[in-house]
Amino acid sequence: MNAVLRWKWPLLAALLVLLPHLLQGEYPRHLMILAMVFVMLAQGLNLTMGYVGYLPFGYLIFFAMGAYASALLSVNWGQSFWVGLAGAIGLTGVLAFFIGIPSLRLRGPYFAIVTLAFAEIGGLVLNNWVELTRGPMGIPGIPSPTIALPGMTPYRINGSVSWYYLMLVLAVLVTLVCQRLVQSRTGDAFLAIRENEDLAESVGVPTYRYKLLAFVVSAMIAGVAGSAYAHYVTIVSPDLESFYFVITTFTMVIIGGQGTLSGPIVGAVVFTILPELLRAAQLWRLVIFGVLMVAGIVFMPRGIVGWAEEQWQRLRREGRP
Amino acid sequence: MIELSGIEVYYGRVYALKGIDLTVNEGEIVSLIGANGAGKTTILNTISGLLRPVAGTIRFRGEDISRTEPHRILSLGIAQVPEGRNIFPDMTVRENLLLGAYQVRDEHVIRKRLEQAHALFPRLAERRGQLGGTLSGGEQQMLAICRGLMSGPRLLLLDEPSLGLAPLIIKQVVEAIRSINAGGTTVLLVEQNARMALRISHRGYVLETGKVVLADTGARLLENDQVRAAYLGQ
Repeated sequence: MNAVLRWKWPLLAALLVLLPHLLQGEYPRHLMILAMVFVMLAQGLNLTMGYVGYLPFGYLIFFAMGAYASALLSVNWGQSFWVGLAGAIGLTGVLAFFIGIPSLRLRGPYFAIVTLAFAEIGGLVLNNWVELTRGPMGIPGIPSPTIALPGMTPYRINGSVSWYYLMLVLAVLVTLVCQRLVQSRTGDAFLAIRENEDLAESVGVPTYRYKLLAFVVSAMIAGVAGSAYAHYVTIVSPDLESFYFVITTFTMVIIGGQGTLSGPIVGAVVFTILPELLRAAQLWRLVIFGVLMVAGIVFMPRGIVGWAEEQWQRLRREGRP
Repeated sequence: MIELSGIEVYYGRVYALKGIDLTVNEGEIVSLIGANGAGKTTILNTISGLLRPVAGTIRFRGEDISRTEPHRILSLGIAQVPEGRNIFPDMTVRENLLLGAYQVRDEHVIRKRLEQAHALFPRLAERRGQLGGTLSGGEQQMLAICRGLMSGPRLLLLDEPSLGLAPLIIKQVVEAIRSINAGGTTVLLVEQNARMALRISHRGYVLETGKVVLADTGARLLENDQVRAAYLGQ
């Protein structure tokens, strides 16, 4: 057991690298790629929701905006994936900044509803600015990314294995950014705001600035996820903001474990795979899914990761009396 | 050290303070006494920047701070210990204290202040790893006071430090306030427990419905017939 613990990081890394070769077939690989997209989305949401304690209901608009920015840059203006990615990050960051300025003056449900309203506006724009976005028809034919380093023949990301590695790298980078952020003075400030915002202000934390920072970084991460997802599925449409993505992402963070770094990862992987396993139950699928969710919230109020930590600490206490 | 002149504060359209003039000199303990709703806490929240006055000025060491943001006011040297043992319940005692020193970057200074806090209330040293929410009421109050001191304030605003505490604990808190003051920190104290407050104060102000109605030394206020009848129950 101890040997396993000591080697957990190298083991995990090896597993993640070997995974596409262990999984045979396109479909399981597709699920893993999707899981990586959701890891990014959930990590981004977790910053604002889990660490700062603000519920951004309209969060998925940044996913859609990132996807559209990247799609338009590559399809309409012939730019590469990397330029699209940068554009997605830039656009979502700026949007979040201007949405955050008025919204973050509100708290609790008021904040949640105002961000939802902004997301609705965004959805209307995507649907109705037909000259630019082609409305509900979406933008098809988004090219695959190409990796071109000097002195190397350009490598085209093509097929599920290379896509998996690209998404893995992006998800790891996003997680590292979140880690740097929350394991610093900034992270202390986030937690202080979540625990008691007025008190945080009175001990000298510039709360408004930190809330804005968290919100903007959240949005930029959603932008990265959106951009990568757009190039992977090769088409974007206003559906990116649909109920499916909203519910899935929020479920992953809440049941995975809010305010932890591993929670969104666990949540993303579990809730990408679980619905597929439940396909065998056919019509009962959604019913079972719902029951599992309610049970999760009732019996693991701190999420899977929080629950696992409690069990682990109890085991250690009983092991060493 | 700090001078409020003509301060008016409204909650919506309801006035809370109508023209407060008040001074605290360097090295003093000054207490504000008065009934519920007289505006005591409002004065502290206005000084610390959580509320904005509609009219009047607050000068702290010569600088007008009546429209300064709360975290700036803290960095100028005013720390507030809010009412009701306000602490971060899901953080440990140590984490609570460290957040009090949020604006301090010098590790050495932080360590020294932690030691001072532990010397002031040895109980906190014993409980440093415990979650704030699991402390007793008295310990939470001690923690809140120490967290206020972690920023190294010149002026400490204490809001009802004795509220809901056992007499024995109140004694400890009073001793602590005295020793904080002896260490060179000026204290502005808001209290329901007027007797306790006036005993340890150099001067006091009596507030009624948003106005100062009496201002004198602590000792003379204790002797004042009006004060005795209204606030000391004699």
